[in-house]
Amino acid sequence: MAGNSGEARDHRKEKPRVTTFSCGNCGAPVTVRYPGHSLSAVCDSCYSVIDTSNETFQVLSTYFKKASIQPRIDLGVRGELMGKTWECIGFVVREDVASSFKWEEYLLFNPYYGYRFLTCNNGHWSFVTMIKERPERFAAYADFQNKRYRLFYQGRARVHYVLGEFYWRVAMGEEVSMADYIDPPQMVSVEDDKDSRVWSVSEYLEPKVVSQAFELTGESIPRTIGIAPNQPSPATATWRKVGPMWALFLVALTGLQVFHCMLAKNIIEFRAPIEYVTKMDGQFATSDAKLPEFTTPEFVLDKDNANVEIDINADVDNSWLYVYGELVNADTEELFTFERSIEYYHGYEDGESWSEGSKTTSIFMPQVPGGKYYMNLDFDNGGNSQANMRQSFNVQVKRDVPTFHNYFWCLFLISLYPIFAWIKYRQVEVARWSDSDFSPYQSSSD
Amino acid sequence: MIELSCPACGAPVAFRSKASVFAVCSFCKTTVVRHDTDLEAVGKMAELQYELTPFQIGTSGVYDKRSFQIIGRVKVAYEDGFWNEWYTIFGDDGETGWLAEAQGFLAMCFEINDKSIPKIDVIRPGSDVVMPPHGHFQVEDIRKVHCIFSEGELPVNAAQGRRSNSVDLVGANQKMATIEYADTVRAFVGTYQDFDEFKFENLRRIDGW
Repeated sequence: MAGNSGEARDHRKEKPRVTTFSCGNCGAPVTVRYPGHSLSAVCDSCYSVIDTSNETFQVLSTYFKKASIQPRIDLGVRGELMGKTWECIGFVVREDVASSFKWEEYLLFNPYYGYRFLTCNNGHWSFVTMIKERPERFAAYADFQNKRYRLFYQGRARVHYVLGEFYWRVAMGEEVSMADYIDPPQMVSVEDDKDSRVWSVSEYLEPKVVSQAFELTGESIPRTIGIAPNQPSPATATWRKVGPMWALFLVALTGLQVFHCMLAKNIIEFRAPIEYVTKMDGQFATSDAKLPEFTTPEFVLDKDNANVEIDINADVDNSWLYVYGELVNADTEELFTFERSIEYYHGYEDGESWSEGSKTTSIFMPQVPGGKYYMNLDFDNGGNSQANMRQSFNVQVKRDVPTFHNYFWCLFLISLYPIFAWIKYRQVEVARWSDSDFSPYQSSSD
Repeated sequence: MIELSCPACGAPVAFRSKASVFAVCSFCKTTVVRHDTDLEAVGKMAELQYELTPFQIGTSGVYDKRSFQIIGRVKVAYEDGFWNEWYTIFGDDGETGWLAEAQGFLAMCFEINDKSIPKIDVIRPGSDVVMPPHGHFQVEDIRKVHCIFSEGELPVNAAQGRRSNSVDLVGANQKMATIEYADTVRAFVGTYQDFDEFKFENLRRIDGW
């Protein structure tokens, strides 16, 4: 088929017939591989641009001799890219007019498939195909074939250096206005000169793909710097997959939690105020000290192995209340013990009010068998402003309360990897956009 | 298909399409104009100097699931290059179309009968042209062209040097249109398609490839 018509031939070795003529400016021989097809060619010796559309080989422009720039891919070399054979016939170095940042462009040709460009920007290669379709342009993005591309670069590009032959009349110093829109690994670009507008699509190529295709060695293999505008990032790809999954899990987990809370009966099985006599000072109970005691009447905890929450609420005020409790199964004598101090202090110092501690506490018991229960409570207190006052604290026992423990743990565990993935993704994208005036990660250009 | 004799050399000149009125004798390169069953010699076609097209008379391909064959060609030049228009005939019903070939871009297009085509002096690059029912098109460029070569059979007199103005337009979804302003105005609408999609056969051998 086309590109390798007939028997299998080695395109890398086979060379077309070439036309050679004398440069009208300096007389040096100039070789054109595709006369008639190539409209202009550059003299290797004096950098004059010569019209090669017909055999008069008129000099279009002469140029002062520049320090020569060596193309990484030699002119006339063929290589296979994107499944087709391409011959490198032209080399252009262009620069951003504002920053003088330079990049290389190689004109590739295949008589069956036409022209392509291979660009080398900061050592990163892209394969560029001109398109007839016109992406729709907006202020900060462009839409093309149902994909949205973000504006990355806008500026003017100037031809800095040329070698080889071209299908247009090339001119050093020629300027076009350009814009690049990215959606890695693709980029769509638009170039406008005074009477034409050309759109193209660039596909990022791994450095070794180009090195292998054109058998680059040593100095010709560029060193990549940074992250290219259209370089695909594994971290970004991972985040794109993990992010939505994470969101889905969060929604599902929250839904489950809501469902769980709705199912929880949350019944108050016992509730009573318990009186005590205040002390002005006091000490935490030692094992031999005799404490006031209270034993509750029996109450029933139904449903097997549901949780129990015991809430204690005391009106402590710059004082403390200590409670030691035993939840006792009346049938099996099984004990569930707890111990708490409730303290609340507050004051006004150096023009600021402060407070510390809390008037309430809750004890959570994850699995308590069903049955008849009573509670023994020992308590002590101290720090009250007046002694021998009657005070009370409230105790309530709740069965089957909604819990958030598991929910928060799951949330935490599920989020560990997505948060890590997001950080990696963000690092790459911030680096990618650091070269752009349109970075979504910076408030304004600096 | 009818076969007539070249008035200059007597070799057979084939007309596969009823619409063809012009041909170039493949043996002696005499250009002929057909008047029903008579051929009138009108000139000679000079050979092309540079040729790098993958196509030739007899190349076949597929477009829109229908197979076609190339039976004629006009090569035109403009200030900044040239392009080929290959006259094609579709096997099943004899419908003819044009395969436009320019700098590696390929499009198959068909003549449309549209009386509302704007005059050339009112359009500019970027102008919007509506060609119902084919939709909106944007003018890409307007070029003065002249015929530098023709071969095979053609529905128009395509003598060397024939001048016209050619307007290229692009639409949505790979659609394209072209308007030729010569003694008559003819408009064509078609679609860009990749080389491989045409499944070409009997391509020309290109030296070195």
